[in-house]
Amino acid sequence: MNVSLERLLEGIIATLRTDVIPNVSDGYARGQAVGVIDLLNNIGPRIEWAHAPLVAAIAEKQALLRELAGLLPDMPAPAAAEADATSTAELAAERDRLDAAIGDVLALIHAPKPVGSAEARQQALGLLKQHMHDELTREMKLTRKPLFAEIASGGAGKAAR
Amino acid sequence: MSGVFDPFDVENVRQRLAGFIAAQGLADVVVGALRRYTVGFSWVTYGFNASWRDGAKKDERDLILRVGPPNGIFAPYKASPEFLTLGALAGSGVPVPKVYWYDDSGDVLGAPFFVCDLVPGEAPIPWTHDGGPAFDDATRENLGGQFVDALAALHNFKWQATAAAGIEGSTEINGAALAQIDNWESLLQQWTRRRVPMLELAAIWLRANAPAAPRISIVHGDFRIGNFLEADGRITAILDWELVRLGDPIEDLGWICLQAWRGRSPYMCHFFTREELRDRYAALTGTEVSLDAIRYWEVFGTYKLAVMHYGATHCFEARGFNDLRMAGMGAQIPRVLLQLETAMERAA
Repeated sequence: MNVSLERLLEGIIATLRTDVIPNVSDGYARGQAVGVIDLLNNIGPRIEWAHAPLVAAIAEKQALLRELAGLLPDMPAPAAAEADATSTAELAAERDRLDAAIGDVLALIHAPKPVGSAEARQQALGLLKQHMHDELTREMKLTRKPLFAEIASGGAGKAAR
Repeated sequence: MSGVFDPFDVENVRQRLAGFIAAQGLADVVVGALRRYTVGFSWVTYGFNASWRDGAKKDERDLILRVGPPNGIFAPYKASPEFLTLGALAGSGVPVPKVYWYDDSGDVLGAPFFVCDLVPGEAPIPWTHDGGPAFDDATRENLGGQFVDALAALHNFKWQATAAAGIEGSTEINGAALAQIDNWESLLQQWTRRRVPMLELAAIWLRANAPAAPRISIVHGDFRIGNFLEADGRITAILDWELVRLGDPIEDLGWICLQAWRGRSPYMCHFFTREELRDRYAALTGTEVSLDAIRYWEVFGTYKLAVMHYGATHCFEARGFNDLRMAGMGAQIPRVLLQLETAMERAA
């Protein structure tokens, strides 16, 4: 998920308040929509969805970079983490720092004067591609098919979940 | 104005629009109630009826008002590129709505806008409820043919001596692709501080394989199913010109071939195979296009679509735009990045 939980809940509630509830003509349905807001207000503080996936992602990226350093000894070592990351925000920053390091390796492999032997670069590129593929495939397991057809038709047609 | 544009304060928008139309030297201006359309992810679109008198001539029209919201996905918006292009294309083989007025100052509605004719028709969309085909074979053949006709007419259009020559883009056949990569990479950097390895790999590949354009044309930039109107088996208008620019016309062909516009259908935009698109386009334009070139621009298009998803995420997360479709696009980023991976493998 690329939107923070806090902002997502805020946006959902604002949309219900501004766009949805004023346009719902049935009183019971309006009340139920307010009930959704009530629940969202209470669910928010109890949810933490990013911490564990970030810890796993960081471990994988660190392992990848170690493997790449073994293949490409001339590769500049990525800057060390400033401190042990513990909060979700710190973990996200560390994930981003490691992704930047991965991007730097991609650039080095493709530079006019690339580092390492052609064989090592080929192996490194394979590792990088596999990492990106695995990470996205894992995220896809959490990603449901978008409901764009239903959204575009204003909620008409067959309901999907 | 006049303050910030508020899409929900339709009476205020209506009154200010009426004043703006009257200021164009027209008399007896009456602007009816605005009806907001749910379609479109970017501009806010309203339909309305208006009447006016120009000298002795009375006129009444069903019109469309398109407003670029200050916190929308591609903000800050400009109405002039779309307005000037549509004006230039009037009477060409490209079905476009007639345009009337525009404003980029923000002084009228608090946001750029333009007004054009309401064209009759429905917009078939790429997303079907079961993911299957959008058309039966007869409709596919009929509309698909008109779809390529319109694209070929756009790319054959002699833009050089028209107002469309003033729109942004590249007029260098050897620089058009690189200019577009730079453009979208710059937008990505505005929309996220994260570095996305898959996008960085794609940008490296796109720069290394950038083709020369066969010529410079007006490029629609979002030419696909979902962005045209159809009525009684006829394409009545090509819509959504907000990404229009001068550049390599094959960019539009690659965009048509994106996985995102066909679901599980084997047909590009639910219309035709890549080979059929290439052959029909070549017959209409005289431009021989290789499948490699189409696949290159398909990679670019998928890259661009992924960057657009980051734009949607940013306008929801950081710009206070509460349209939940924007957050929904953010949730789909892994899907688009995997489509980019597949497009690169196909083009390699």
